[in-house]
Amino acid sequence: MANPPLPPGDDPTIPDTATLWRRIHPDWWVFDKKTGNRRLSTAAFDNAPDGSPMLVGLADEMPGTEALLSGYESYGVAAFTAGHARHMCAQAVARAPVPDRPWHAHVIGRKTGSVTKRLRDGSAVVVIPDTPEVA
Amino acid sequence: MTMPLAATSGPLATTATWFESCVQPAASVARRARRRLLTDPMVASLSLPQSEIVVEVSQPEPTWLYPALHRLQHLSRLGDNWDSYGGRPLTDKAILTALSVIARLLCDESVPPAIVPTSEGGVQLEWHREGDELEIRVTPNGEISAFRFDEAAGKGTEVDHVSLSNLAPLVALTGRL
Repeated sequence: MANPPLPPGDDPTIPDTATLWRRIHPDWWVFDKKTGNRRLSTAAFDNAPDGSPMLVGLADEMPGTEALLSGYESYGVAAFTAGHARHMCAQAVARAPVPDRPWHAHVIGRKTGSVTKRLRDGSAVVVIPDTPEVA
Repeated sequence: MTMPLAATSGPLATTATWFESCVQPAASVARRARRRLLTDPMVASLSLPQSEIVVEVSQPEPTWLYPALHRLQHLSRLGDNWDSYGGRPLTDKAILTALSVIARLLCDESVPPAIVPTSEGGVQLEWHREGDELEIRVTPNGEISAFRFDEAAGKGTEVDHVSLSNLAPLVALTGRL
């Protein structure tokens, strides 16, 4: 089956193999009572409240997760690939550099329940957030 | 003034009796002065930035009640940019609506949901059980939507634009929790 069309704005210079990092607030690190383990919430994979696209970091262009977590030491980091965002979640991926953070990128597209689930399911936790104060 | 938060009848209603005082500033909420009896309902409160929710519940309390109140109280204290991506503080409306949804959908012994903040200032309720995932999302203005994924069927279903005044579309999706 053909991949669904991407929203406008996709940047082909970002390869499908590029790893994208997303900061994870501790309250998005959910305790699963059934398994006794923690898991990511889909709420971690949404667009910004002002309507701008979901912000990520281009891992290959960053010095390390420390750059993403500077000032946010209790947060974690989730990783997924640009190809996963494009081909499994019908999202465009584009650079969105800002001063001091040339590695900023956007994951563009509507974040329905099925999209946030796919983004979550395709993510690996590379830095575990602190346990929330109140689970 | 108090008003019913959830009906005591209906197939999915909790047996608890709930009341709220959601529109009054916290300082104006009347406190009970009379001596409490063992047969009196239990009273718990949730202090929010703009209001206070007072919950009266007949004993024994639902197992999910205090964990839910504790978690919502914690989330109500998230400030501006709490998620580092411009996240907004949770609105009182979202918290009250989420609590109302829980009260109406859950039985006394139901498994409580994971309660998660959303960047826009809303609340998301999550259940994961044997490949079945259910998420109920409450927006800052109290609008409700839900997503259910059945792993066995490999299919997800979404409902949008649900309101507290008519939870039927939500109940049709969630069934008994």
